[in-house]
Amino acid sequence: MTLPVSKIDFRENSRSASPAIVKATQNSTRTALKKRAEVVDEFGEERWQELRRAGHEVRLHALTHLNRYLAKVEQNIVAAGGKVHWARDAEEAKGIVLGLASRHGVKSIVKAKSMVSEEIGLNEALEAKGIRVFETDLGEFIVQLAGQHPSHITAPALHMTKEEIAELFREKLKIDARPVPEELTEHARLALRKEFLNAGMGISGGNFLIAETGTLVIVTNEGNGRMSTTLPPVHVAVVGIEKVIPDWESAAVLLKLLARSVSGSKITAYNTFITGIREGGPKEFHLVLLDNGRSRILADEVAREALMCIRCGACMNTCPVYNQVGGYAYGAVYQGPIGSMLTPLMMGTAIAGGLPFASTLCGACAELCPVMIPIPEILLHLRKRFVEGDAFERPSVPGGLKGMAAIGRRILGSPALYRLGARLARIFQAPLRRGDWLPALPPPLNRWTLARPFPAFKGDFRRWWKGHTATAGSKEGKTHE
Amino acid sequence: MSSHLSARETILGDIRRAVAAYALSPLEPLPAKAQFAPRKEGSPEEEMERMLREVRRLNGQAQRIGGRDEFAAAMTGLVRNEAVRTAAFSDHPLLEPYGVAEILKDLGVRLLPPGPDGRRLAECDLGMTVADAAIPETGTVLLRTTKGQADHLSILPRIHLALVCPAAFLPDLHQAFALAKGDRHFVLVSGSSRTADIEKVLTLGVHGPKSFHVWICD
Repeated sequence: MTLPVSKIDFRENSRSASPAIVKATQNSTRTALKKRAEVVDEFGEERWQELRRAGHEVRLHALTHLNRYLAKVEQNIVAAGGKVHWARDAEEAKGIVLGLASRHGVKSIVKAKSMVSEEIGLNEALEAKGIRVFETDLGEFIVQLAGQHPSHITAPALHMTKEEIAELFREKLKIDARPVPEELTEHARLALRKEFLNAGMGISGGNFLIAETGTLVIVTNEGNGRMSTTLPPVHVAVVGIEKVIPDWESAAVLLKLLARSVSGSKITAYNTFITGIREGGPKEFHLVLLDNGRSRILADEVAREALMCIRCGACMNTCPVYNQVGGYAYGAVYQGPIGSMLTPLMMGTAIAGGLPFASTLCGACAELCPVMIPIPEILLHLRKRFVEGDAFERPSVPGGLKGMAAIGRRILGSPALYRLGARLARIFQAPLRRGDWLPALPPPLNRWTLARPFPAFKGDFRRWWKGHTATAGSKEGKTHE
Repeated sequence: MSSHLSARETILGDIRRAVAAYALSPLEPLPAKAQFAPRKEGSPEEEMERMLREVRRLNGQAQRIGGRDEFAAAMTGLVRNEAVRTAAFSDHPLLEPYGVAEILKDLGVRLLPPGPDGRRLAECDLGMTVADAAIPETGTVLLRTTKGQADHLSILPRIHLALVCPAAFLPDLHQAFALAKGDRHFVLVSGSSRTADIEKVLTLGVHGPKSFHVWICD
């Protein structure tokens, strides 16, 4: 699932989400959140908040000085025998990887989980050249076999049951698989171990790039990140330019935040630190630094902070909307609150302007975000961009809706018109009213009543308030409107 | 996008313009708020107990080994319980006094050379490493990748045994990074290879070792 090029219809997508996906999503996110709360509790709430503030400062500083830190990364990697490539967009990045694969005569590739490679559609590009690509993260392996795409950034196959996975393995791997997670995992281990040893190239993403020494940090629980970057003769890492951090102290802060926020571990099973090439390791190390719209986001001082994301998925886990619709509704590789920011920022609001509205702005995401991204603020910023346009984009709202909004603004802005409207609503609701409820409203108000009835307009607050203050004595309420 | 510029120049130029407010001033150090004080360590005994506890919490097995005889007994137990037929170990000097090779040979275990082609370890049962540092807070061992202790040794075999001497204990990640940040390659290992990708059921041994043992050798 690359970034989309046609308009994302969140409403339509969420309507077609199967109840099974929603249920599996909720089971998974509930477990992750519970374990997260336990480790944060053990760390101590006060220290945790201090750690989050440190994480925020580190990421913001890295972004505002990104050009300097990127140059440092490049300098240090080259000094350690690695090669650095720069890619302005997805096409350039794919071109670089394809060029390397063809130069080395690569026939098969093992891949550690990388959101960036999903973003640019790297697998499809490689497969089109006849190169076999094996996703090696268990969840990614499963969705790749199924011909699907991840539904969560850290738990790609959370939407599938063990029965579905067993069926998939029976069909695609031609083995007698039973719906037992341990056995299914063993099947995947056996199938992929061969590929690790045969692959001509290993491709990874990167969790961080430490400028101080030019070190690529890869965090995995399964060990596939280590095998993909140790066994094949060539290692190519495709990493977004925003992943750079200043130094090793920053890495200590962010790794503590990341593991706890992802799934409630104090530390991820394997943290790998790679600086250029080494004796006994791959003969070549290539880093592809990908912009793909990131420098444009950086220019927007409000939206910039979305680039601080360390891809833990906690915002998705806690989001009441994500938990009702599942990952696919977001129509792109990044989903949930982080997707509602990144997709419109990268692809424009004409394509993804609906996503910032797929939020109640309840703020649960911002409360958990390990690097304190002000998610609701950025979503509001993007809603404004969608409706009114700004220095970065022209508005994308259709004319009719804009006219209605103007009328609404006019009525709500004038006390007299507002009062008249309220009175008319009480009169005109009569034919629609069923007891205390309005079960169905005419378009465009039916958007509400398609999901739930609307409470009937009753009484008159102003009149009630006048009577109330007269009897209860005028407390402080005089100035209320 | 001016096509005569290289991708590198375009990207760095775009970034410079995007952060214009910061781009001209000298690179400032990180603000004080970005610093986080490392955890304070407990007494050596507390740290040792914590290490044992945390490794067990990660579904690993941990024990203290006091001398050569205990080492031989523990190794006999491990080889029998986990049906070890082949093993490879690091060239670290800590292993020498224990006579690992003799113990394993006596138990009928075939020894594989740990390098230089680590791929051979794909069929190996037991990989034995010596931790360059250990972080009790998280049950973590730090393994610096060297010719004699290749990365393969702790990822390909079915069982990973890491030996830790008490002097290797460090309070937090910060000190561990200070030790190894100049290396071309190192890993932090905490437990065995794990996943919860199928219905959130914790499963050990996806791609790497299925079991993880830590022996603290006094």
